[in-house]
Amino acid sequence: MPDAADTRVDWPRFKLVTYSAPTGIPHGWDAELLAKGAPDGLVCEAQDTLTLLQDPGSGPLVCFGTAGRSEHLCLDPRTKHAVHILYGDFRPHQIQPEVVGPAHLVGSSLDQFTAMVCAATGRFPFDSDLTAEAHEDEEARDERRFNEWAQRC
Amino acid sequence: MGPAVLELGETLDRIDPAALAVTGGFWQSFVADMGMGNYATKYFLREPDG
Repeated sequence: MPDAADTRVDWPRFKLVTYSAPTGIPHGWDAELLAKGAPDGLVCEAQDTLTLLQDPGSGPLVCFGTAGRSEHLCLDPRTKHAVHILYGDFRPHQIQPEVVGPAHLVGSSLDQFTAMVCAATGRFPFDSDLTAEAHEDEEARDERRFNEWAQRC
Repeated sequence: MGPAVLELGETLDRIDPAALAVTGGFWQSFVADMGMGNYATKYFLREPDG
């Protein structure tokens, strides 16, 4: 099993990317991200700067990360939820990018989303199971796993 | 991949059950992709030097 010392592997790492004011985001909608930073890891690449996106369905979103070419991860300043939204040029000869489909919940809060990105990144590699005690019951195993996650994140 | 999928799914569910419960959503897709081997270590290997 490879480990973090294996230099052959481009090891995914978790970090928080921080931002400095002013960001250009109005109404203090950037306050939480300025205070806490954005998660950067296996499933979320934090942006260098915060951007404001107008979603016709849910209103203004403060976007802090991407999960692919047109997949944006944003904070909804009204609900404080972290959401995933598709924004890009999906049609031939399209000049202006657009939002496609609704925003989907990815975190009930920024803190929870950050914790999930950290847990996913910290669990890599997925090719083998963690060593478990043979006599461990299910409840003890769950507790151990959660404690392992809590120590990493 | 099986045990890792179950383990991470349980951990994510413990952190934020509402986010994991979105059908076909971001986290369910990630866990499914992981289960299919799309995040296998072999895809994270560095290009050999030279």
